[in-house]
Amino acid sequence: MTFAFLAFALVAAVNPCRLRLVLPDRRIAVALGALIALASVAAIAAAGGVLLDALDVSPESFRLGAAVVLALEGARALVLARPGAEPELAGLGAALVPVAFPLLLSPGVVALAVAAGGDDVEAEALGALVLAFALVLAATLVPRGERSDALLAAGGRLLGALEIAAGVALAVGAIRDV
Amino acid sequence: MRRLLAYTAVFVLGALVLRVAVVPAEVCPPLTPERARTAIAEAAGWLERGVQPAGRYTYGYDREHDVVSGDYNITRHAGVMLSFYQLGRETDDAEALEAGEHGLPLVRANLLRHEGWTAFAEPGQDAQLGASGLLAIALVQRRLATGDDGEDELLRGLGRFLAAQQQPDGSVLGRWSRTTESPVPGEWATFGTGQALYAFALLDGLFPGEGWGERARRLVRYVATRRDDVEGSFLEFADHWSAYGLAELGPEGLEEPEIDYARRLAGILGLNSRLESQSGQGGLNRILRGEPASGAGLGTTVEGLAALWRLSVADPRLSDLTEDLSTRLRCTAGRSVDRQVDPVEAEEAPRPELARGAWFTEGGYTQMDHQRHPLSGLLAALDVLAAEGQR
Repeated sequence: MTFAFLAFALVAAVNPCRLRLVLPDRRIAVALGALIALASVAAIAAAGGVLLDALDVSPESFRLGAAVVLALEGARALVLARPGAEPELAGLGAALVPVAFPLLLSPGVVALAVAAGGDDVEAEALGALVLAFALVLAATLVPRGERSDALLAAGGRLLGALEIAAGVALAVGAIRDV
Repeated sequence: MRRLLAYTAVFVLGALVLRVAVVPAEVCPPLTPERARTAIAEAAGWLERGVQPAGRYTYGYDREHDVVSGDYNITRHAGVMLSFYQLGRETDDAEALEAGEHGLPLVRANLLRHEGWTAFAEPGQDAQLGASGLLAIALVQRRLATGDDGEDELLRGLGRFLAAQQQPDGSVLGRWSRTTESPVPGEWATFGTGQALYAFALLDGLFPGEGWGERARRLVRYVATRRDDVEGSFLEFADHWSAYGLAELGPEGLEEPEIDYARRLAGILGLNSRLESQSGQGGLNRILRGEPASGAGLGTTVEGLAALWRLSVADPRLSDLTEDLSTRLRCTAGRSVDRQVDPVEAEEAPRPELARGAWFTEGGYTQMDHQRHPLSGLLAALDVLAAEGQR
């Protein structure tokens, strides 16, 4: 997996447009949540290779599994472009719930982190995730309103479709790899 | 809090479903040279005990109903001869060579000669590409194992039949009709094309300067660039015979389209190996992944991976694949050894001599190619183990 592919797949999996519709308004909580999620992904990616070894799964086979997760998650974003409001912990606790989990640490992001660990491209994955989270922070600058929400929902659908495409590309690569 | 717990539960449940349905454990028993040699000897024993009158070998055996199959197939006959000659060549096993020679009378009794070429075909039957291609491969191995040039003219005749089936685009038609006395248009052979490729490449090595290499290069270009479209394969066809052919042509005989094809072929064989290693004989894996591969399926995967491994060692353009090919090969070869019926297990069969050394399907059936492909595959795996310092 190249940095370019990881950036494409992780931006689609994080889906900043869709997230903007449910993220708390407090930007500091979002930034802190992104840092928590980044640290978690770093740990997951670092343990990815060991985890796959322990499960007797080759990195190529796991990529097929990650592809399924991306495709399902992308389909959900395509169909449900406007997610429901998430309950929040009070104060900066919102950085943990819901920002870090379940919003940023989505199944697709976790699956890609494990796959990156299995392929020894943890650094590339973290770099790509920084880009994706930066887009999430940028999305918080978009003011909410009827028109902007409709645009964000459309963007969320588009990113959902791209997440499906990333899943297909990942699956094709996994099939072609030895 | 309840919602958070629900999310966590969905996460964990999703991971479990993924584990069970998509990425179950890949079980790869260790492959040692000793285990491989024992399995080879047992498989060869099954085939050698099957030597029958009139140059035949035992075709198949149904363990559940204790019935020896009355079927026969001359293409598989040639395949058994090939495995015997490969074994004789690799190990100087005189009994294997003798068993291979035992198949020659049946060959001589089933030759069709026409316009300068010779095909291996039963009387009254059309000539199939695969039977002649595989016989040519077997006879080249015989030549290399024994040094006997007594069948050279037959070899050239078989080569001329394959050449007569070759079309201007490099493809080879799968059947020659006795009725029309010509190749049947639009009909290709699933494995025959790869067998013809390997045969042309071997013939070029044995008889250089006679034009076989040019035919091989035209065919390999067709296989690499057009076969799947023309012959209608959706995914890359896991063609171990083409893998043999690519390895025989070697780096100097292959250009970029063929190297790309070798990569795609390695990918599909690797995928087959991974999926097979995830399969189980019972439980959910059985439902989700179907019946485990037959002995022939296991053996052909190992043969194909081993051929591409040899090519990857010889050709720097593919050297990045060597380690992964070795890993997959060891896994499938190790599983092949595990699945073979050992002498103790064979005692439970109605006829232990027809069970020992065999690979049975779930339905309790085995046939000659279920033994001969693992034999050839494990022989090739021994080369990989030896090259990697494990003798």
